[in-house]
Amino acid sequence: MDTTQLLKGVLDAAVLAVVADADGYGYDVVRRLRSAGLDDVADASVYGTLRRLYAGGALTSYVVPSDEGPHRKYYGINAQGRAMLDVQRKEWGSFAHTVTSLLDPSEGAAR
Amino acid sequence: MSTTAPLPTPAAALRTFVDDYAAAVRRELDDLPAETVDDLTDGLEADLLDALSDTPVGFFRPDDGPRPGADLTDTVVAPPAGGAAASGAPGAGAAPSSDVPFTPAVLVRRFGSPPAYAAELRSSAGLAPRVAAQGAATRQGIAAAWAETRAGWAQRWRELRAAPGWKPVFEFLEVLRPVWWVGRAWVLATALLWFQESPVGLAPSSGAGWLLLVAAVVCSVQWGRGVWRFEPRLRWVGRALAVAAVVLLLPTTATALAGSSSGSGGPVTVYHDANRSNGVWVDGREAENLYVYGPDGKLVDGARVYDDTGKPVRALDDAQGIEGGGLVVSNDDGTEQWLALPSLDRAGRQAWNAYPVERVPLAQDEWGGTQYDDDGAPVLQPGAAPTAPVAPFDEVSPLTSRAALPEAQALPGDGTTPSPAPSDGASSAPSSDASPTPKPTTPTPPPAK
Repeated sequence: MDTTQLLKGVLDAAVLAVVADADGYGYDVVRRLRSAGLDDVADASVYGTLRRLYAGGALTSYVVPSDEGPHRKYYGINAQGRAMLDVQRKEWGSFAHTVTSLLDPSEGAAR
Repeated sequence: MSTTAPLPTPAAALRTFVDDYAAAVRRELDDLPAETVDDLTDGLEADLLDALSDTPVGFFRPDDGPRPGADLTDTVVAPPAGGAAASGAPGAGAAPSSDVPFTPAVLVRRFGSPPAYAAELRSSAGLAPRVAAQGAATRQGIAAAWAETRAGWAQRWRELRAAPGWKPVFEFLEVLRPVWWVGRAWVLATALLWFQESPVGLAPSSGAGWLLLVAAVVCSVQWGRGVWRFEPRLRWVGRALAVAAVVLLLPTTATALAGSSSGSGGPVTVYHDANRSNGVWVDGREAENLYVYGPDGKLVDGARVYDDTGKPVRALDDAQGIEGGGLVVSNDDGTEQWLALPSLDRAGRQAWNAYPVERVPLAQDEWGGTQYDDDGAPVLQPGAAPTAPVAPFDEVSPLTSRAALPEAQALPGDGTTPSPAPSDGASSAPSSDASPTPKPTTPTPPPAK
């Protein structure tokens, strides 16, 4: 199965969840997504998603200067982002349940 | 979270590569507003550096990557606390080794080409793909400004409609909308007819015109009701027609009103100059010159023409003003002017009825009008000589005989040739008192005036 296609649909929710856990800058979010098991996630698509969520008002952002290297841009979640995450959590739960019971009726029935 | 560790010396080169890569990505985004580019790429260098430091050294093994011209011999991997770079690289040795070349190509291997990276940033950020090549920024700028202006007007329009004082007005106008459906159809149909036939009235003057008007009304009303629609790719046609109807509303209405008040298709008012009593009209146009051809079909130069009362026939009227012994005439569209010069008879009198009348081209002023000198005399074109205008025919068919008298009207006992004066007319024979010589059949010329 082409997991990159699946990833596209849930990337918003995954990024929101990671940032809700703790503020993070671009690559930091990528790293946490990967360590959570989303190995195929592409750096640039995460950065773009962060920007889109920020532009949509779901995230806040602030810049942290660095003595040695270039500065970092951190993202944090706000109330609107949390509300969005809640909705997406529910939608994912119901969607996953539907697809699971479709693909594996026995497991779906067991749940 | 981790912070970037102080970079060892070769890291300066790595920084350069990263900066170059980030700059290349930003160039790929330069069609977007600067603010958006900042949002998208702020902190990109830090992210790239971090990502590189997280990348297993094995990723850069020479086996499967491009590397010629390796001038940097040291991999710069500055793992953050607990970084997996050195330890997690299978078969790479414990530490970054000198056999791993570090070139800008490594960034491309790790992150993809800058255009691809920028494209992914765009698509995941929900932005449109890059518009092709040059002028994109300008076009987008114009499009954005236009969209902003439109949005601004739309907003003002909404506010106006929502304003309590205007609400009844708009409700009233809303009811009149079907009137506009018919109105715009009339405007467009009338404008079309205007192209076809110069005088247009409030109603078409032809059956085809009516057909067009009715068809236009049906289409317009059906479109207005939303029953008929334009295909999506033809929507611009609808918009163009709507704009055209608004733009043409005043001109067509004014023309149609003027046309109907003077009676479209009715008699045309022609203003006659009361001061002018001369001139020769042929087929609705005033002749500028006359050409007389003899019975042999050859052009007669200097032929003098009189009417049935012996008056000289003058195509040019001195009521137009004789200037400097001649008469200024112009062609039909007024783009050329001449000084017409009359022939003179033995007594030195001007014979304006001698044809063809010769003329001299006149110099024009900068507006195309006749140029006059200080004495008020028209200025001739330099080197111009009087010439007769080119005759319409070099020669016409010679005459062989006269038409025979129709048999039915043959007058018994009258063997003369037909004459314009009725033989039995008592009072209407003009020759009796107007001309001292009997009939134009005589070769003697009538007296000059």
